[in-house]
Amino acid sequence: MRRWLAPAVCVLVVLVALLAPWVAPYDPDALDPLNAYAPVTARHPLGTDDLGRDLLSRLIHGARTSLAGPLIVVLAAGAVGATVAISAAWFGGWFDALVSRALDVLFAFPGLVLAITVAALFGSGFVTPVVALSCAFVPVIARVMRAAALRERNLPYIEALRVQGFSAWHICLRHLVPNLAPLLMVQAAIGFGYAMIDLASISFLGLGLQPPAADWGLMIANGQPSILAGFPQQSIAAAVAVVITVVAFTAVAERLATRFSGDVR
Amino acid sequence: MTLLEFENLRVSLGDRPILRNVTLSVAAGEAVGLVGESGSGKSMTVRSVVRLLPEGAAVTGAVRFEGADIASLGAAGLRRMRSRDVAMVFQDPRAVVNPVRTVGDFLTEVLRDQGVNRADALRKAAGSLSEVGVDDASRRLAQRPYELSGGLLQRVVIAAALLTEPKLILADEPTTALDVTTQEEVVAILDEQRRRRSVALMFITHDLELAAAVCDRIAVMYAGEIVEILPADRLHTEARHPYTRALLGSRPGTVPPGQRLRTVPGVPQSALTAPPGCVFADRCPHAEDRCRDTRPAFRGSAACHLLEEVR
Amino acid sequence: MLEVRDLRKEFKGVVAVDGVSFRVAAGGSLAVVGESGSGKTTCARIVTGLTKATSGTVVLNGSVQMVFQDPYQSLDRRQTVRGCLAEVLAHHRKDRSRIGELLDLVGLDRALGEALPRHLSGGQRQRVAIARALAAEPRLLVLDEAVAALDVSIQAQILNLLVDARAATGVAYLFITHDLSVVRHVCEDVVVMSRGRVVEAGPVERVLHRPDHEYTRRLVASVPRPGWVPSRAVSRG
Repeated sequence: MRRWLAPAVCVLVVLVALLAPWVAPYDPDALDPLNAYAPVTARHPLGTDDLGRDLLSRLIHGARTSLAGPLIVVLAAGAVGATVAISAAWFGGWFDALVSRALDVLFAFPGLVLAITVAALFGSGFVTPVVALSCAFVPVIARVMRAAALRERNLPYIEALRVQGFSAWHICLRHLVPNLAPLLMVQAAIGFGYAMIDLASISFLGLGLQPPAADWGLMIANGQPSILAGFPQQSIAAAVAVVITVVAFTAVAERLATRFSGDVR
Repeated sequence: MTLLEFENLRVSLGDRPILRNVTLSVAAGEAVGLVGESGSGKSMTVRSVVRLLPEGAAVTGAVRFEGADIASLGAAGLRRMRSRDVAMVFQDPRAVVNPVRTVGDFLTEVLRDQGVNRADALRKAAGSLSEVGVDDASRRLAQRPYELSGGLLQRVVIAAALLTEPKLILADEPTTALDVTTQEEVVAILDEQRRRRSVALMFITHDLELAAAVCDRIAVMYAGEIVEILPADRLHTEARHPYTRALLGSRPGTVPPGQRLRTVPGVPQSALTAPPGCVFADRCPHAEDRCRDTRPAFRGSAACHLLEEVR
Repeated sequence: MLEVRDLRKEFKGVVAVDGVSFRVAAGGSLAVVGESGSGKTTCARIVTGLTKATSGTVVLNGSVQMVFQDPYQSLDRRQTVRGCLAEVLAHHRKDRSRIGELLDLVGLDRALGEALPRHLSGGQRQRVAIARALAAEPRLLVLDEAVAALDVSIQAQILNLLVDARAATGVAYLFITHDLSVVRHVCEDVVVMSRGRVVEAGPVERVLHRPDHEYTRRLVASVPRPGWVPSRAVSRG
């Protein structure tokens, strides 16, 4: 049971996001001012917000952007990071030194601060913070991948392929990348949790998606005035959704990591 | 006088056997070589002396040191035995010596723990270093492990092992990571010091000739069992167990160059994978049905059903 | 067939190989022996093109392949035996049907074709590595401590295999090793290296039985053998 909990939660969250229009009981943007701050009832399982919108439906629709953001971040950062890392490890020498120093410099910037600054400068929305955060995640992933690629590249089987006369391209694509893929997947899964928290924070600060979008970070922020009014459901529900999702994804990542670490030989 | 005695020692992890049956005694001041291939259980045998076994290992049979069963030792008794009576030397000296502390710190640690004052401990350490052939002891004491070669560091480890004046040294492939010329030197020192101090030695190696050169007796292990025990100087003339003979015969140099080496088919088995009867039955060229079914008892020097038939 | 002349290699100012020359005749078998730091492995890597020499020439008629020491890491862990050999055969434009022949040549059961490296023992992996190297039908095979990591009984199997494979294919060996008994068994000529230099070279029979150089004598004397008594005086210096 415990073994399946985290993966099950991940699958559930993803399914809910994909099927949002069908599983959500209401239109997430349908206003019903007469029903504002409705308590938890059978009709509104999580109640309604200050404009009478059904909170469960907003949470379900919010899963879409809340998951898509971090997914794009880890896919982009993973692709770029792995490419940079493998080419640095493969070519070595001054190229590797240059890449490593550049990664160190980028690494010194806190990703969240970078993303916030970029969003503040270039405008809020979905795209800008995601792009900025992707850039910030590249060095995180690339540093780990470079170390692994360097180890892998020096293994005798890679040298045997070189002696066989295979091209660098062939060796990297057919041997190096597939053997590094499990680690990359683990890195992406771990990064997913962090990216989710970072994007929620950006939304919370008002630099991400704008109202009336249903986004978990934004919902936490928009629920703030209601807390004072004695209706904390919105902020709490969205925050719990973020926490559960992050914990589930990170737990799965940890599991993958231990599994693949035994797969090295 | 018997110093160390293994009696029907069996070690298993869950339902996986690691040692199937080890019976062996080591007299005070005697050197016994444990020879075998990977998975034969030679490391596990010496580790059982100081109870350095994997978590959850189940032990039956007995290991007795000076007549006392090691299993009955309390924490204090075990600690005392490990720090005073028994010393260990491993394959990789760099894994044993704390890399950030000086050679002097490493050598005096146990003495200081036993209440010897710093100046005396350092003096004893310097003396011990020069006995194992390390020149310029005072300079070496101030150096750190990375400044020393592997051979030199292994001599430091041997010096440390001798410092507490143990009754038994357990050496687990102490020269496998060293070059042959360095190996000769380290082995010569170990041999010389052992004889001078009449310390008993259990010497683990995969090299029969090396074991024969530094030991009084040789125990050949295979798949968690000792299959033959014989005096080192009669290794070539009196080895009777088919496995011992296979090992002797498979070294290049036993046949003229270009001729085929006599090989044993298959791969070395472990205690888990070996057949229920004689452990060597599935690779033995002479094996009969009874070899596969019944475990042979020790007769004379070897555990084999076919000692008379195979000559 | 292989001629190495006046090879020199520096790593960041440290000379690893200094003025090394040797040659291997077609179908011949040359051992390069020495202890750690002697530069023997660097020579092997220069011959196979894995490392660039600082100066000197390597003339090679025909192709070269290499077998490495560590059987556990010289195969791609994701590739089956068959996949590994098929990839190499395709690369060298050889027929896939030779996989079976290659497995027979190195004494591997054909049923092991679908096995992954982790299902194989050290000796079996080394057989696969040898099959992979021979797939390209090289004229020269560089064996870098190729039997050093194996158990004694497995070592004997692989040495027999190497002797057989040379007889069957006519491939020449450049055998990098520290083990003199292996040299005696599979090689005709030997080059003894110490600290980057060749100290002695010649036929195995002569060099190992009547060594001229002090270092060779020490090396030969330090090999455990029947009646051997280790001495710390001999190896001093």
